[in-house]
Amino acid sequence: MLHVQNLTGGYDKLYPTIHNVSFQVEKGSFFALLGPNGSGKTTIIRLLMGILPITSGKVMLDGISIDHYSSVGLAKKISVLSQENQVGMDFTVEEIVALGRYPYQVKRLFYEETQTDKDAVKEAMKLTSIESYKTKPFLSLSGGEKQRVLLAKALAQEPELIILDEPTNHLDIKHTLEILDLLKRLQKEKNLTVVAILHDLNIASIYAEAFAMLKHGKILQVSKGFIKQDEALLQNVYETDLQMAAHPELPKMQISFMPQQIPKKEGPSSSISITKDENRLRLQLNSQFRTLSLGKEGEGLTWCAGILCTNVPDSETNEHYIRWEYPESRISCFQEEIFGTECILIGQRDGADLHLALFTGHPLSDTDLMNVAVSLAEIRTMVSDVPITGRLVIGTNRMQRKKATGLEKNLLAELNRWLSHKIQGVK
Amino acid sequence: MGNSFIQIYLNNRIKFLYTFSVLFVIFSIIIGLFAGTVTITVPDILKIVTQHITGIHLYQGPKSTDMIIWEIRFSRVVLAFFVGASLSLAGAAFQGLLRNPLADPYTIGVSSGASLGAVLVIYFQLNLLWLKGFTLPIFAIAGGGITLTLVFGITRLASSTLANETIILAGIILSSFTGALVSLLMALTPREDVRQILYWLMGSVSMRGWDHVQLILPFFIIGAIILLLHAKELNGLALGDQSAQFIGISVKKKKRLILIAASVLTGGAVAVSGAVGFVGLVIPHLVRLVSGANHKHVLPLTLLIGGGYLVLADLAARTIISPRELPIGVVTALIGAPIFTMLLVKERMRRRRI
Repeated sequence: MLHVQNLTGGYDKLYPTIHNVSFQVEKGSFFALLGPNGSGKTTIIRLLMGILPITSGKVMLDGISIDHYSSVGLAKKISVLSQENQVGMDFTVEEIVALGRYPYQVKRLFYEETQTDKDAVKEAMKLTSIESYKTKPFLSLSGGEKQRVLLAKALAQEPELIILDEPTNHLDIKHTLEILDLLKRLQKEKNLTVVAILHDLNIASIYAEAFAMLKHGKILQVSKGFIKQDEALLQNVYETDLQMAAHPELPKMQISFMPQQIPKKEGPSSSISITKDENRLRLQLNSQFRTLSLGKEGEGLTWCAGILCTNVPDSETNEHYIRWEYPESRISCFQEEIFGTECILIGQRDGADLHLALFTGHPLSDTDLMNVAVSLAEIRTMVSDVPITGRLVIGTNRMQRKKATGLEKNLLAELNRWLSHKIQGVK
Repeated sequence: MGNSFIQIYLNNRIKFLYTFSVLFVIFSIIIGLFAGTVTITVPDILKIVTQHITGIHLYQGPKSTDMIIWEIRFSRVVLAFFVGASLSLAGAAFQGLLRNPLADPYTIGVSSGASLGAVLVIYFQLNLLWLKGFTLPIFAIAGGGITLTLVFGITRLASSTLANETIILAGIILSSFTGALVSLLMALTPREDVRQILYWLMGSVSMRGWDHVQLILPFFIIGAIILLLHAKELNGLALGDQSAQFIGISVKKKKRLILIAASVLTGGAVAVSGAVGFVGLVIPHLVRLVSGANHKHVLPLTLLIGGGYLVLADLAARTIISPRELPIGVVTALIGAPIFTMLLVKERMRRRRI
């Protein structure tokens, strides 16, 4: 529907803000323009809409060059929800929405509203659920309500393509999702094409079907969705430490950001302290460990501050602790330095179950945590002839900076050897 | 159900506002004709006016009464109406266009330019024969026109998009400049003539006659028609220039057209009556307070109320210290300033309540 080819232009003819930008938006799709502040996203929209002059390149809308459209003709096809929001006068909500009908009224000499106009305004207000306050003054609304009204105005234009410049700016998560869900619905029901500038990468990842990543007025990548390999690109674009992981429910990637100001401590291996008596073992971590917790009541990937294993009822409560309370169980514990970092294996034998916990100061990735868990489970089956079950916990100290890679493979092998050796003692 | 009630209420309110405005105009014109040193009964006034408008012979009284009503009072009242209507309509347009509630015909410098033109005529005692008695108004209009061109020129040079801030700034710059020139001319004028300039600067519609009505009429008709046809665009521009562009308004073209129309109205009014202040500022505010911001209603209502208001203001100007007259600009300022202050305070209170 929208083809942008080698678009160059901007505020100054000699120093264009946008360089050689090309992308395509298919009809009925949701296209997201991403990039840090000042990367030229809004400028692209202004170029598309003819507010800024195009120095070179082509913009085709439905096969026709965009400068062949009159401003009214363009407004019938594309409506824009811009960031500019300066309503100086005391208009009511309904009057603001009715402004979207301008392209259909311009040919009429005086200000009349036909039934079609009224119906379109009504429909737009219904879709955005703003009917209940249609007679209220626009200026008295909250930010979220205002944004919905402006969206209704854009919809009253009955466009085929809607361009949104940060539509969810200043909105809370509920209103953000409401607006984007509405757009998604219109996309499905009316085959509306959506082009949106989004700042929230996670939201963009969930809603958009295609992405253009911009930096310094150039497109670095156009893609159909984030993949794990985009991590480096995103880190480069936003100059931020980040990681990508899968959304727990949807087949989309989500991004986690690493702040610079929360220091990762160069934690000594003595960050693990153990207090132990006959019936009780308490392992305390001075910073929380990334933990994979499996088995009955296992929480999956999480963070924990320690573990408490007892065979007597214990009233002591500790936040973020894993608690293994099994009467008549036997608890054993081994401690050793592997490649200069402390590793601790705890076993708690409870009837037919053997619960195992491994904590290591080595920073392991989530994948490696799972690898270790699989080895540990395999090793556990070797101690007994009958099938053996029980909980598994693997903890790793992520607060340490990553050490040189290459060690990791050796480390895992060494850990496995140590575990196979010690597991005999646990039994 | 509830919605249709609100709809009916709104429609009725707008109808009521139009009815009220028309009645207000008729009422103010009749009062304006009635008041004066010679007392003439209302039926006689109506007879004389209908006779002149329709040509049907109705009035049998003395010829002098007919003269007083038609030639002196009615022309004056009509002139006051057109001046008031022009200034208020221009004010409403400037405020809507520039999205600035403090904009008025004076903001953009047109009226100070017109004043300079007029003061030049008075200072140099110009009386060009081929312009007949219209030397002063025509110079005033020319002054206004030149100022508008300069405002556009400066705005063009400083901003390629006709940005509102630049227009206002250019207007203020030229207002101050022409104001300084007017002061300079006044300082150079012999003392006995300063009074004439001062009087003109404060505005008046007295001793003008039908010639002046004829002079303002084409300006009024052209300006008013253009503005009334642009209610949609003024509404759209209230969202900001860019948003207006996005809904399909050719912003630059329409903006220029509206500015020219409003300036034509202002220039015409200033040319015949001198600088009458506060009308263009207060009346649109007052109207918006009751009608809402929609220019579809604001523009015609402002035209009617503004016209009627200036007829009444002129009435006050000539009766308060009768037989002497006050400049009408003094009256409008004396009434306008407190009303405007009240509006500001009230608006603030209303906003706080929401």
